[in-house]
Amino acid sequence: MAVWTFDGTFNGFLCLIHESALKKERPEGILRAGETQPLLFETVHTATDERLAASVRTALAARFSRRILAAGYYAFLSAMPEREMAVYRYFALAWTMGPRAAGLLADDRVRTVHEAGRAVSRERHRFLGLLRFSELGGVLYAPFEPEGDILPLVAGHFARRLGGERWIIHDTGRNRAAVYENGIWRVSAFRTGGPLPLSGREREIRDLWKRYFSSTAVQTRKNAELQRQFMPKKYWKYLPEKEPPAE
Amino acid sequence: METLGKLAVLAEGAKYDVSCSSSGSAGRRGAVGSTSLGGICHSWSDDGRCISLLKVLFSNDCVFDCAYCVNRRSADIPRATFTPRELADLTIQMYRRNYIEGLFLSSAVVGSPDDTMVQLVRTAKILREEHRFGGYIHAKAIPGASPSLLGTLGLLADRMSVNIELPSETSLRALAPQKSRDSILRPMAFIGGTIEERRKWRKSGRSGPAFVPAGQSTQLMVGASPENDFTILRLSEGLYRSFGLKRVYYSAYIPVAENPLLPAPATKPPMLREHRLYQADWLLRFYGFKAEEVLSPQQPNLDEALDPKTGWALAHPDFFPVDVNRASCEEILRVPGIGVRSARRILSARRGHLLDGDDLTKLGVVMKRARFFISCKSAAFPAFPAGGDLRRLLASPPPGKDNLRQLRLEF
Ligand code: SF4
Repeated sequence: MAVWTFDGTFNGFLCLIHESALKKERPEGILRAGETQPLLFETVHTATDERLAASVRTALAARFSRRILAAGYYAFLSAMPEREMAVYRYFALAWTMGPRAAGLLADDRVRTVHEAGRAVSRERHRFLGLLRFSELGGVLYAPFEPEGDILPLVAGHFARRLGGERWIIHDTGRNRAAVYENGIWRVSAFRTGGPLPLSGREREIRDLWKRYFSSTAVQTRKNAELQRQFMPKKYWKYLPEKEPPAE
Repeated sequence: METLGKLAVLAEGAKYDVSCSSSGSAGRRGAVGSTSLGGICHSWSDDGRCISLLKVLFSNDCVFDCAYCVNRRSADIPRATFTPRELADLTIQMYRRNYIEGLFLSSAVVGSPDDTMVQLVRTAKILREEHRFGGYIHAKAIPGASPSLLGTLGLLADRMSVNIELPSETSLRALAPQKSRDSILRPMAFIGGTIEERRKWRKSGRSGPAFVPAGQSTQLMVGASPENDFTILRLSEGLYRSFGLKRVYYSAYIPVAENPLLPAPATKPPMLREHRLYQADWLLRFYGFKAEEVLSPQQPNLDEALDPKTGWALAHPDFFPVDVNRASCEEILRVPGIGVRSARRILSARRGHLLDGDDLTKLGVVMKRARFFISCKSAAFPAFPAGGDLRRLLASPPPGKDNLRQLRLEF
């Protein structure tokens, strides 16, 4: 019995699956390198090999379907505890059942993964609208703190939308950022020493937006509950329109 | 006036225009921005409505004097006018920061309709040509605008609308003396005709720049003038048919002025009526109903207690029960509690086996409503219990008043 570790990337996870199939062994638990490891278990580390990962991806998609692969990927990016084991079990089931596995909604192995995946997809869609950029010395910078690890899921959208710009989308909780320049984005480790100072011009544009935001509401029909339902409080931190009034 | 001050004044003037959809574009791409296919909300205002576009008037300094309008010439309000560059820059800066999906470009009549159109065209040109803006633009055409300006604006916008506001010529004459039926319908016909022409062009393999790729829409006010629902619905039907409109929006009139021809300022806007009209409109567009089926000169107004489809079903007991295992799609669509999607599912599922009640529930049918109107494998359901009971059973309570705007498509 062993706990398996990997580098935390989806490619690393695919390599782990490959190794477990080769050895015909199932992990007892799956941890990301650096997470505290339980004392009583032996640990096995899987190295990440991008090319191997790519062929595992193709093999899985062919065996069960892109849809199941995608559902697993989304759940892998979620904040659900022990998500790696959950996705591992889901893929294992699909490996034996084939594409039909996606329809077994009464099976816990399927339901948990689908639910976690849906939450990630919902959060992604929300942030396509809620992400806020500020212009800082020629670069557009957007900090956010998503629950799921959705950086790679939002970056493509903004590469299309802001194709001619340079931008950074910063997951402040995970200290990682997608950095876009010359038509390409990459995710890497990223940190700032606290909130970045805004230029006078940037402040002005923010104030315009805040003014627009407040004038557009019909005052006699205030409905804070409805507003929070669409735009939960946990996302307010980086929204200029929800910034407490200055001074 | 500073941009900030203008923005406050000009957002105020535009906020009651309800059309806010930002989807359905052909997927324009620019150096800055692209329109994405599903609508994206960027924020939700304090009244819980989605904010997707920067919706402001170019100017509220109107030379017209429409009695129902806050911006009418005789109103004593602060006036402001953007410059094209100012509004274009504001839009692009908000767009780059991901505050908005695009611009809703609309204006009061400054000088003359064509003078105003020239300013709107300039604004859109700066955005598209200088800023290489590829986001969404909904442009409102000014009543009375000349075809050449409409043609230019249509090449820059994703969607256009000419608002009818009042459902009859009599009301127009009484309440909007400087507008006429012609000054509204002509631009609409021109836009509709050009869209159609382009579509044919493209079909025949010729290429050309897209003209209003996301289509044309309009808005009608409900409750400002005395027209009944039948008149309104027939008008909408005609607009869909003759001008190929994508959407007709209905807007419950909010009184703005003391005027013997209009509801008194304290009158509540008829939100429930607006909601029922949206439902009836939905029947025209997606369920194959005709306006004459939903309403008639004898019964010219929608029942506020029932959704219009249920109302139709209760008035046509002979039509039911519908056998879901045999009936045509059109017939199935008439059953309350069965929507377009579940009808489609029924058609494909019944090829496998005869459907029973449980199957129907799984296919998304709202059995609580549908069961009175159908028969299937397990049973002919108790069609039409005696007396007025059914009406009471099926009454759909008005949705919470604040949620009305969100719920309008519920069935
Ligand atoms: S033309 Fe438009 S802005 Fe001017 S008064 Fe009439 S409705 Fe209002």
